[in-house]
Amino acid sequence: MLAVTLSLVGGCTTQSYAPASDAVTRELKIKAGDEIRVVTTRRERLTFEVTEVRGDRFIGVTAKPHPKELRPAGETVEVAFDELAVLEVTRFETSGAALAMAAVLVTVSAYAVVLGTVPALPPGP
Amino acid sequence: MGSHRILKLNAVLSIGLLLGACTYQQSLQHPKLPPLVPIDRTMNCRQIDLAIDRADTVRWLIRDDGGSLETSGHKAARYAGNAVLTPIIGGPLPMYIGDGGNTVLSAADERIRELLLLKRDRSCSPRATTLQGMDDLTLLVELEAVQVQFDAGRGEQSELFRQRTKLLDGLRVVPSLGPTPP
Repeated sequence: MLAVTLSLVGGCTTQSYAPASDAVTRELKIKAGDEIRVVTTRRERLTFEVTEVRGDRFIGVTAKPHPKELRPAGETVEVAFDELAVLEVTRFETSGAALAMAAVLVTVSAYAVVLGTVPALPPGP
Repeated sequence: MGSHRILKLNAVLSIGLLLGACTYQQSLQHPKLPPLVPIDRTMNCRQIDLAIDRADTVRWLIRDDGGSLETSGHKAARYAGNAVLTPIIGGPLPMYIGDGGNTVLSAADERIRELLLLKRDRSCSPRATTLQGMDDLTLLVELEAVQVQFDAGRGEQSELFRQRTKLLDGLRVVPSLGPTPP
């Protein structure tokens, strides 16, 4: 359970981009269902879940606003690619998760070899 | 005696820097803008203005999150603080004094300057700034004057940074937030 939890956490990576062109934005392969945070050239900060990716824009629904974001949750937004200055996306990377899982398993195995027992969480109340 | 005074001075500087670093909090990860590459030099005037808008927005984000430029004196004190003092005051959790956004802000400043130079080389039309009686190409002239002084090591570094920051802070007239034009 611990290994699975840690690998899930370890597999999540947040990456920020400053796309220099529409083509670069498309290369990020943002898809419907992704939650992204953006800053537009009109200096608006937005967090939204992408519902549709068109040739030149994202369409989505705003999520719970982070500090300094003005729009409430649940609003439909359209962000043209040429208005994007910063884009941040959090993704689950299977390679990162596998690495984290391997690290946990190696640690637990080493612990078991040294102490002759497998560590276990104490039973709950 | 002398080394004791230096240690005290270092401690005061480091605490000051630590407090200063607290004012820089990234609301989202600040990307480090790259310098121009050869393909960027094929941009037309409209694309150059768009690239300036983008770089200026990244720069604004860093500034809005408390980022500022760091003088070499501050940098030296920060390094000393991180190397000597931080393990002592950090206790079991090591603390680290960051650069207050200097790296990402410097990169944004430099990219904007390069884009403005490209814009002038292409004889593109100037755009208004928020600075009285100054368009963006006039601003570039002022910016270059500051840079020449900086490169020559003339003048107080903090004052030159202040001038550069003031100029670039006023670079762009940002359209007001409203409904997105169709």
